[in-house]
Amino acid sequence: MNPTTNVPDDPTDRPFRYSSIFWWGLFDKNSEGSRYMRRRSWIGLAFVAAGILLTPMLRAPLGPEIARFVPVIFGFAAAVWIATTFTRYLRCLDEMQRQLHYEPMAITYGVVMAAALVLGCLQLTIDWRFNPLYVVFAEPIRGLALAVVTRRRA
Amino acid sequence: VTNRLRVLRAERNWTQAALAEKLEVSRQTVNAIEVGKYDPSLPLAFKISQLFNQPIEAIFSPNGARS
Repeated sequence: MNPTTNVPDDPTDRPFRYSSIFWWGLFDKNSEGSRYMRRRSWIGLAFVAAGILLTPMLRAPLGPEIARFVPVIFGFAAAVWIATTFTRYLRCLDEMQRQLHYEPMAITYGVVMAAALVLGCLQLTIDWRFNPLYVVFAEPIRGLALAVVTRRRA
Repeated sequence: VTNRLRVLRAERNWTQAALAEKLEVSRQTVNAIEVGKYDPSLPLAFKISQLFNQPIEAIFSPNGARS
């Protein structure tokens, strides 16, 4: 008996656990969100694997000037994939799950992004010319600086 | 906010999962509302009220008040 309500306890009514909310989308085998996230995660991993495998393979046929954009394209595709997965996943949640889940999920994604940044920096030590961070951020700045310098000289 | 959700559910011999299905929310949400860890939104409160055919104030009451 529940002393506060005088209602008999139902053995099927499992207690509330915050952790079960946190991991709802990933480890609760029966939830719609879980199935959805697992399916999308495999496809996301395929994106990453394809990027890692295809980038060095395409250098020779495409030439280094064009091949350096391959990781950018894969990076952009992965970013779109992550964004759509996250927004669609949130749609799978009900109001309480959305409220309690959003913050931990945002933290998780932050950690994943930080890990991606670290991996990007590690890649820099291997071959800086094909580093997505370099191509996206450093290359345009370098190009702009070169343009300014050549205009001044002219 | 306190509520009589658990009592109303037990009167009808429904499990949390069954009630959750009727309300189109997760079982965890029903549990969290019952134990007072989560206050439902107004649309969900109306849904609960319609399901049990009782006014909202008969199911939910502010802390300290007894219904």
